[in-house]
Amino acid sequence: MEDLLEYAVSCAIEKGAKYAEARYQVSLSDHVSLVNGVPLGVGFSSAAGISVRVFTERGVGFAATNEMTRESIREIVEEAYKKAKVSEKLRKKPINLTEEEAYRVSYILHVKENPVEISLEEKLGELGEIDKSLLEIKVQLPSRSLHLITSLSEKIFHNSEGAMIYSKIPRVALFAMFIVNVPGKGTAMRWIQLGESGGWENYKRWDVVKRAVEEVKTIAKVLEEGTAPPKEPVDVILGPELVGIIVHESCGHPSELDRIWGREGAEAGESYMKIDMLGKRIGSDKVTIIDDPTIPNSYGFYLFDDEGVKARPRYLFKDGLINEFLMNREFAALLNKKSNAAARASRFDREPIVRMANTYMAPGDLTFEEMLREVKKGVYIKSFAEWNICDRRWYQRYGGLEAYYIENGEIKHPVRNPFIEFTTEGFYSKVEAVGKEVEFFAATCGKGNPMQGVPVWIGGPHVLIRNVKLSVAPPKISFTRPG
Amino acid sequence: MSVDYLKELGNKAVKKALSLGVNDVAVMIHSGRRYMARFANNQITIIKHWNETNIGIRIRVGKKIVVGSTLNIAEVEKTVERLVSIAKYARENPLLTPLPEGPFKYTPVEKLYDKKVVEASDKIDELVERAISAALENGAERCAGQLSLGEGTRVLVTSTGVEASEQSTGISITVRAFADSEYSGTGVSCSRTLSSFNPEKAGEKAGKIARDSKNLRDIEPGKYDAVLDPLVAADLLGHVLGAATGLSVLMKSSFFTDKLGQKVGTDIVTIVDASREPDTLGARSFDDEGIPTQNTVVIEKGVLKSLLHNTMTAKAFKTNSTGNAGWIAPAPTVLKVLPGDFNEEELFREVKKGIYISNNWYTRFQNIREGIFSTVCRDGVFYIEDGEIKYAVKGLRIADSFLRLLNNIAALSKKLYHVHWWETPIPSWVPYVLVKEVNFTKTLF
Repeated sequence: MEDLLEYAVSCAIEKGAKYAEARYQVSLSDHVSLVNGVPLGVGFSSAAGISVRVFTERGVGFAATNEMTRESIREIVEEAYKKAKVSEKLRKKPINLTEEEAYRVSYILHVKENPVEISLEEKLGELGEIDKSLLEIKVQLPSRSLHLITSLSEKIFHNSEGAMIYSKIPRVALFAMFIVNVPGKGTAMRWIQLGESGGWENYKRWDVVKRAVEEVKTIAKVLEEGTAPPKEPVDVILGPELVGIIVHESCGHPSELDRIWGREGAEAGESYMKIDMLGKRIGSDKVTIIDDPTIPNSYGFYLFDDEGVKARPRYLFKDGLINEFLMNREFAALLNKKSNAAARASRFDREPIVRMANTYMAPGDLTFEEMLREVKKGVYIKSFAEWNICDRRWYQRYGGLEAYYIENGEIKHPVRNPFIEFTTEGFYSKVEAVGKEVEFFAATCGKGNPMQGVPVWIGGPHVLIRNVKLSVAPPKISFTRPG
Repeated sequence: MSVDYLKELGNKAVKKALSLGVNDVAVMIHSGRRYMARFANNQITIIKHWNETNIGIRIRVGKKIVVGSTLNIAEVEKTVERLVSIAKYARENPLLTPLPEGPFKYTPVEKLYDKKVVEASDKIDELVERAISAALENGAERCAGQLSLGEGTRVLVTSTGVEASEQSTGISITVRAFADSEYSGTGVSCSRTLSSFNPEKAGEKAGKIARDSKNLRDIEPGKYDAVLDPLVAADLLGHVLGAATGLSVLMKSSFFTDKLGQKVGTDIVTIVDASREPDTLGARSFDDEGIPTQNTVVIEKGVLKSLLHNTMTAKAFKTNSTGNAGWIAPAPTVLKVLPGDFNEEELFREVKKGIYISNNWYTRFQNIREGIFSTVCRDGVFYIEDGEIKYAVKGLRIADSFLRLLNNIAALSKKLYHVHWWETPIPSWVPYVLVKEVNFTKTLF
């Protein structure tokens, strides 16, 4: 395969490209699904092929094929080169790339049990166990949707500067959705996504049955006993799941330098950040947010990005200041900086673009109990269902699911559907205390056109914000029957 | 790749599966050549090209179904072998039905293929430039977007007598125009034929909305009548069509659970899954099981008349497939909202105090069973008073219930627009929609 990649790159350089790269990528995945106890289907997908990205003086072309013959490779190189030249017609300035070391390395995430080699029978058995345990608890679950996905991503990256990087990373993931119904009280929806890089042993460690049962019982309790959120401003403790999604959406995405330059403007959007905002204050000095691809077992794990640059932790916010953008080689060069290895491509036929890996708020110094003691009257929001944010990543909203009143430092009865709606600066500037222990959650981050979903972790510790207003869910509609 | 070659490939897989003892097998092959130019700051950032063939195979052994896909043509038979070996371990799906017995007669969908679209790949930069120029002439300072075009072949071969093929083309553009960083507008154009494609129109609309969005003001959150641009109607009513699929209702994860035959919207609401709409992205003449497609009226004058089915969900509901397979889950193809009586000016004149939303994104559910959701207003959002647009407003989102939305639809425009972009996966024909008393929220700190 290395021969074909070298052939692709040399063809591009011969044609006149100033830089070229070729990537072979195999994405294998299999999935089993159990919905309301029905094994709807099992299956697998295999996507293997080669893509090339060609830079001319002022243009970029990309082409991909799943036909791995020399003729086909030559054809895509010619297409990519031709289209790079065409794109020059509408581009005035030359495109430069940062200077980076050309690594020749190989890394494999070694696992005890390769997850794609575990039989689908065993995987369906796991889902069956979860479903059985859910049915044994005395809670109505009109909808139970369980999906187990294992995958293997194998890549070889080569570029015209001599890099040749081989990697092999298996992953395991579980998606679960429940609708919980408590007669007379209504329904609630809970989504869970678990995911790690690693082997089948990682899945076994999750203790999914226990977790699913606890989640369902908790949501039922919230429906049963939950009351409306307080109308007056209160202190709010956000759990790691909320903190994770907030930092992903309002720090990670807007830190992507391609967005800041407007490259994703028509789809994923732009950013409230501007290139001259490095060093500007965005939050309290308690706020440090890191994106780190190198965390062992993380869902967003990699050691070299899809431009061959060695990965390292990126300190996006540091002590409340905007500290570093997420960068690939093209956009880092515009700031005369080095790439910080944020280029990722979800499949062989997708271009590498600037992405997050594992984004989290750095821990502070309080235990959860100590944080609770700080609150006289407040709400603790532990999990969420709905969330969204404007495409400049400024106005955002999160729909709390598992939540409780706090009174005089103690957790009291559940609160139902507390919504929290704030601006990015509004939130980070109100962060008054940060917990000691970081928890991570799996997510699939979407960006690019065509859409590229990539595995990431989101996370953080508990966070305390003071004196904020919560809002409520829109009221349920009473239904008109015909006639 | 030629249709004959792809059919031969399909038949090879079918033969292999039958020799290994499966009860039935379907092979769906998508093969295509596509181009995409992306642009930002009035410049093309990249042009991409794909030449790919994907082979999907579904086998049934008794009550077990296994589905696989590969991009490796040389491994078709190996893929079948793997599916059959997996079937040994799979569990029985009591809902599963055999593949429908063919052959079927297919009436081609009109205007599915236009050679001129393929030829336009040589002038992709000119098409982009025309769109950008139109936006700049109408008030934009800079534009981002994408232009995609290509041709594809779909081939379906089943062990139950189906050997069908269809060639199609498609072209689409999204233009997002910016006038300063906070003021933006989006315009789209899409079709299967080059003559219906109008990049200037997309650029012009995007530019005008961006220009008119300047001088943003704050407005109190609360209930307002809302005029939904076709882009917004396509997204929100696309979720409505998605909630009407047989599987989501069967699995009780839809806000239409137990509502078949009931009134779910006002009398003016008629929503069709329009698989057979000419010159429309997403339209097709046969589904993934080989059933001939039809236009299915899902909501008729406010009543939930039909769900969208494949043969499996149809059997569970004791009805016929609507030609919306999906081997596992049925899926919408084309959203069509039947037009109303208002021209667009009249529709705006109906509004005493309201909001015109030119675009939205990020629709998410707090509770999919009850249809409680929110979505972020994007690009130009305008306050309307006494039928006139007064000024642009910022920071709003709709937070409401889909069932209330359907029950509050008060007017529809006469003209429908074909829209499809990154945020709305279901290609749509939709009007401007007036909805009464929509709940708007905004940030509280």
